[in-house]
Amino acid sequence: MLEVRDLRVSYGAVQALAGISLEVREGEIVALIGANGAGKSSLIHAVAGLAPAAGGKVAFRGEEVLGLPSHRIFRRGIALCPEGRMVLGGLTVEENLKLAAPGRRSFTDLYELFPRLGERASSRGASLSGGEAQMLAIARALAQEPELLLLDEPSLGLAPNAVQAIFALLPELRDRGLTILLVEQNLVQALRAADRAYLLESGRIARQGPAEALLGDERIVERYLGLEEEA
Amino acid sequence: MLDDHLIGVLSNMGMISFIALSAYLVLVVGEISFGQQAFFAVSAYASGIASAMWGWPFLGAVLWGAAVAGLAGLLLAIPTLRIRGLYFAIATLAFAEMVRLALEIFTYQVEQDGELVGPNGSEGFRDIRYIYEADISAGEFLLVILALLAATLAIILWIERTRLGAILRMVGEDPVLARLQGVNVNLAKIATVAAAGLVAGIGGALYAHLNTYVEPKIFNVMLGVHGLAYGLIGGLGTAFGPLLGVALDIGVLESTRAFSGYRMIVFGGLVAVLLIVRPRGLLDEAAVYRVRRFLLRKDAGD
Repeated sequence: MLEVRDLRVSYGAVQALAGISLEVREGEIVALIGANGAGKSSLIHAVAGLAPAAGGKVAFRGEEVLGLPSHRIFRRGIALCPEGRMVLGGLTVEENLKLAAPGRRSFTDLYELFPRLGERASSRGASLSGGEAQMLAIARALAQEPELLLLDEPSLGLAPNAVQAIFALLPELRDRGLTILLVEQNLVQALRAADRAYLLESGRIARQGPAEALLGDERIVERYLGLEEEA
Repeated sequence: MLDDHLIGVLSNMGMISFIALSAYLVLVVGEISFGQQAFFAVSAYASGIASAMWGWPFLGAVLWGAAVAGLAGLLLAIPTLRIRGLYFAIATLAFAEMVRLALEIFTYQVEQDGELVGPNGSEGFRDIRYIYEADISAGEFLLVILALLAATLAIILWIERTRLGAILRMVGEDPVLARLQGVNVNLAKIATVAAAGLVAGIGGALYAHLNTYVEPKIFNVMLGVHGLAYGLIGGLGTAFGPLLGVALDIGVLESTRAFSGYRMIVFGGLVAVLLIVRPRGLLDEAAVYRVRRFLLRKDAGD
């Protein structure tokens, strides 16, 4: 579904991605893991059109999307749920969703997926907990029914039980036909939710394979759990 | 019926409201402009030329002036697309000063009945006499101003209730998020700045015809600063906000004697205080939300 070939991203003289190739197949959850600064966010920003690429190709359903403006990439069916959630605090939950999909009248399907949002539909964005705000950010990204969801650091700053709830949701979304590319520092959670994973180190792919295999690799888990505890 | 003083004050409020609405539109998409007076000026000249020199009818001249001002807005919007915040504000200020200085040297005169008519550089542009020749009274002209203002306001209020209005608010709130939700942010900004130019242009055309005389120094930065301040005082939650700002400043501070001599001090103080205690003005989004909910509840109760 999504094919990234030799993607390079630089910020001035700093190279964030040194030629990355990866693939996301339809109906998969693919995790992109790695330490802070490994290039995970640069990759999905480049795919979503937010960061200019220095070279490479990004094909979505066989068509090149690299270089298109963000709004056109979105209309092709790729939605990015940004890190930091960006919920509009002055608006209610439902208004946030309406802004994301102004043509829609009802959000019952989204409230079915996220019952908590249904309960808080008329609460203001600013009053949501971190976990609820993350759910709203995901629901908002899904409001126009994309085919591929790019999910940037959903666990950032969330309490452990909220993280659990978010990750438990991902297989459910996949089973409803959504394909997900997940960027995450929380290695264990990401690998548990994902089908396959790529491990990024300094702008290159260091490891790739089925999520279970990476989860079973003690060296990876120890090294990154160590990092995680520091953070 | 109304005395001349009151007609004059109301006409002034009406015309300045167009600049206030113009600056407000730019504020809605998240930018601050100190240059909306440029569009007011461009249209004052363009419409004056159309009616006084080309013999166009008044309404045609107003529409022409507004269209030229809209085009000028487009001219400003395209090169400033990639700059934001303070840099955008400075660019609008520079643009408006360029327009004003260009008008200082703009000369285009033709002979009519043995007299030269038309803009004459820093001397200004005299004898835009359409409303005297057509024998339109000040009271009738006030009705024209109010009708055009009401139509403009109605269109803006209507757009604010549509999907487009929601999109423009989202662009102003968070352009990156808007992009991620499929909004063509560049197009939204260009269209809004051009539309803002057009709205200011309607006011400029009215101004030139009511006063029969315009000169470049009228359109200095203070006019733009006032236009901007009206939205910031009155509120950015609804298009009624900038009109409230106009009413407070011109209607109360300038026109009553209570503050004579102190008007600018009171006005400046009002802006400063409001920016601290109510950064999005009196009729901000929260106030509009409460009013709307109150009205809805009343509807439901009936």
